[in-house]
Amino acid sequence: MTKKRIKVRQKKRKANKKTLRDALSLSTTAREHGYGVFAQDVVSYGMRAFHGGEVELPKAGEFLLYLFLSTLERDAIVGDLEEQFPKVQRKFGERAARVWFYNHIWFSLWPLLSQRIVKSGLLGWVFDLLRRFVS
Amino acid sequence: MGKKKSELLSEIEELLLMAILRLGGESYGVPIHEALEHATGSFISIGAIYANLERLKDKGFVTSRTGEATQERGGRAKKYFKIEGAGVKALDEAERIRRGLRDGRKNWEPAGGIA
Repeated sequence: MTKKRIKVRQKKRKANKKTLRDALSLSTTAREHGYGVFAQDVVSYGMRAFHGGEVELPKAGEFLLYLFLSTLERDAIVGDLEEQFPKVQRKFGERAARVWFYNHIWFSLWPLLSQRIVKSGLLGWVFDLLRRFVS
Repeated sequence: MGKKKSELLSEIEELLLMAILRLGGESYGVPIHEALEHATGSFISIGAIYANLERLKDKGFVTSRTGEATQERGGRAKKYFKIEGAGVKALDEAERIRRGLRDGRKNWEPAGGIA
């Protein structure tokens, strides 16, 4: 990494730290005035800024869920993982958060698929899967 | 009279019902997952939670509704779960069975007697 890029990253990180500090102090004020829900949103916004903007879930893992699950199931599960991801990232770092994410994907696929197969039968499930890929 | 297998709760189903009951209106995937991991102290995948919740839904013990989409979740909607009367009844029944076994109730005996 060039010196220039390191400098830019440091500068960005410093700005993000300031955003997080501002968000935390704003959330304290919000809590004091009884706006607990708003305070939570402000903190999560600050956390996102601290980690460099939008949270990016590992794409390959997310794709596995897209491959096998229906839209409703997928939205709820991916949303839950996306909500928890920044907390893990903040506590243990980027790499650990990715391991945590893939752990969830890996151990989620079998229970979800087996439940679907039991519900609609193997043939029914394969047919449903094919229909989703074709349409 | 014996209970049908589908009416009996597995351990994770029982824990899920208790978590939903405790969380009240705020029971969607994340708090349920956190409550279960906190209570058991072990890793439970989010998929296992949803698979069991779907099973509970099929049994009529819980109902679900799609909630609001938040920025925190990348614009994806939450799925809220609510325990129904049948679910509370099933929890009570599981508790009664457990207590009966633990206390060694006299009329409890496996079919065919104890060898």
